[in-house]
Amino acid sequence: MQPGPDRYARALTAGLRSGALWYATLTLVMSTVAIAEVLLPENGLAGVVTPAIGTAVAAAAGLALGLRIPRRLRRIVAVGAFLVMEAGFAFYLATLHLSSGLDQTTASFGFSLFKIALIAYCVNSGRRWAPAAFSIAVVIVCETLCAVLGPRLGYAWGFDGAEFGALGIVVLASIGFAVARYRAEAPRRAFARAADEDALLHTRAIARSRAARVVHDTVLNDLAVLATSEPGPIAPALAARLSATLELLATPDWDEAPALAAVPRPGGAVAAAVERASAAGITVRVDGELAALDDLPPEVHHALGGAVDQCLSNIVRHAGTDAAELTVLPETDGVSVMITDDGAGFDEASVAPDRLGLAGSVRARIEDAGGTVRVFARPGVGTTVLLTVPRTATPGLIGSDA
Amino acid sequence: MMQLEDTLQQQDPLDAAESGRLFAIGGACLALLTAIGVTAVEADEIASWPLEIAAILLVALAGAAATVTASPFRAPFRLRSHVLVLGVSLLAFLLDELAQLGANGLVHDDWGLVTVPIFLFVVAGLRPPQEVLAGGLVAAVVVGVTAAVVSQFVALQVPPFARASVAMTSIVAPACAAAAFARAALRRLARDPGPRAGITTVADMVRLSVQQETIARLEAEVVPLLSEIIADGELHDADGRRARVLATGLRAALLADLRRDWLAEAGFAVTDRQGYAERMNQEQRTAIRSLVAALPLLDPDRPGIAVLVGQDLEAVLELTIPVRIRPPRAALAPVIPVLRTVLGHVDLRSDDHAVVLVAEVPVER
Repeated sequence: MQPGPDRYARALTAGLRSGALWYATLTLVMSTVAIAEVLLPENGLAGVVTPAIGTAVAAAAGLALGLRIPRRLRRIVAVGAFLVMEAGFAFYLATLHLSSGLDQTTASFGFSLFKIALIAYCVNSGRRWAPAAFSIAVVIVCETLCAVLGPRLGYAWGFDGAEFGALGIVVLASIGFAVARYRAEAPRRAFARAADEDALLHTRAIARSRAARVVHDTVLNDLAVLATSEPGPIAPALAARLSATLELLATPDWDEAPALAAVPRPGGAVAAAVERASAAGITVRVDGELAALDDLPPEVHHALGGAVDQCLSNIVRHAGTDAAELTVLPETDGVSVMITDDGAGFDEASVAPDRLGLAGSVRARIEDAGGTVRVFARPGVGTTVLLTVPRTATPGLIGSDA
Repeated sequence: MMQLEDTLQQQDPLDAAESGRLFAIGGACLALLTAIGVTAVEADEIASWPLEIAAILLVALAGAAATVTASPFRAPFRLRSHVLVLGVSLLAFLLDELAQLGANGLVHDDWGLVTVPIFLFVVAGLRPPQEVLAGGLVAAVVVGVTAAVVSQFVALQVPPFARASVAMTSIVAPACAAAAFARAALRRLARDPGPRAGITTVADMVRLSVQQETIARLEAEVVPLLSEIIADGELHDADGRRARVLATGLRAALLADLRRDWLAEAGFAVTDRQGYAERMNQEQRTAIRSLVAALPLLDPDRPGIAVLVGQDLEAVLELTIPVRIRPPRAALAPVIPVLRTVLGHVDLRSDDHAVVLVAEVPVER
């Protein structure tokens, strides 16, 4: 649902053009059939295929062709067609010899339906007020012809209610569309403003969530390590980690930070996460097809790498074990990565709501990439986290964040 | 979310709401004026005035039904409304023919052959094209059969089949035109994505500004601490304690940021234990923002209240928006079809103090 005045006007114009074609064509065809039914018993086939009916058929063909005219020529062609059709109507009026038993007025159905078809054609003359203006012109010219030529050809002038009804519909439609456009303008603008505001806030919320993940995975983890470390000289690995964090914070755009953007191959961000975990003191055994990760879109790969990094970081900090296993499983539409440890385990339902690691840095990250996370854990038994990501990027997933 | 029908009213509820209502009002007026005008001009063809008056009243009834059921407050326009409007207008045509029985000069100039097409055009923007065509064809059959049956009582004699053809032409052609109008307009609407919010151009700026805010928060204490530790190459007792305090504060700040959902940003006090607000899609959020924007005199002294409760993929949202005066119906009218399209059942009430929206909110996950 994307409202917009031009979009809706274009749709209505397309609808009116199509509707007018059907209306005009069917009116001409069915009036021709009706006239033939009346004339056939009296005049035979030759009398039916009169120039009048030929005119009607030619007009129907003209209507169909008229719809294929390029837009820039439409107005010129519409004026030309208007003149030709009026001439055709005059010819039709002059050559249609209705049976003496029929309604001998210019409001007879033989003329009325032709006039209605002309009005319908006028809907194709353009947008906004053009259909109404052309329709009024058609009615004026047709009725002038009927009034001037009709009596000379043996037809009394008659008020054609159906013709004026058709004109009323076209004029009403033009007025209705104009008023509707005017009245819908204010709510449309309000809706557009609301959509813009929502998009902006949503973009901001996504950005906040991404920034929170980066801060959680770097600064917050670093502070947690410092808070639990013994006083004394810091290990080179920790110093390097703190330096990397400061380097990241000094980068003008985190998405373009070399440490985040560059993905070493093979295994990419996942392999880098394994290296970081190894540096932090746990042995990670890697199984499966690490190369399957190379086929992933960069955005998905980064999301997966960030999530694996957080899972391994959780093992380092909470599992109480120095070993873990990482298995890469290629699947039809994606790749699964299973991280298993035989450490302390936990009960996911009892995780404090202020813990951001599993919810924000693992689950939110993978779900934003269109993937799924399943956690199998029990206290004292160990933990298995199964991350599954698709082979195609989710629309709207922007760059990397870890 | 309810299943959207292939109608202009539901595919573009904001733009179609106004035109649908205006066409219903305009069509009702035109049909009634046509019936009265033609009756006045051809008064000598009326054999039974009570029947004719009843027929004209039925046209008025069909117009009233179209006007009421096409109102944005009753959106969407349903099949039963279509049947009601068309059925009553056909009944009016039948009564008009009966009223002229034995005195009618022609069938094709009777007002029923104008009023029925008018109502066909009115419903074209409100119902799916196939249904508009089906309704038109049914109407054409009714009109054709009626014309053939009354043909022997009409003064000007033509073959009954020819008379039925002419009468049916007056219905079939507009029915096909109305259906073709709806179909082509819907196709064009589907093909045309319409204007997009120009947000993508500022997305990078937003992202960078959030990053800058985050860095500014860290530069006050965290960055100096990390820099000092790296420079010293040693961790002191005080550093550990400071790191613990900073971590606690930082975690709380991050959580507060993440829990600030869009309803809270919009100024509502939110109760949403299951996080349904964040599972609402962009169209649902925009429709609710539009409702808030449509209220001219919000009361800034009282916060709005949003309560979301539900189960699985279905929640009920109760939104209380304080206002200083009761908003006019015209302000709410354009938003209601939009709300009904993107949400499920919607109930909107207003008084002098608040506008209360209760809506079913279907969410994906």
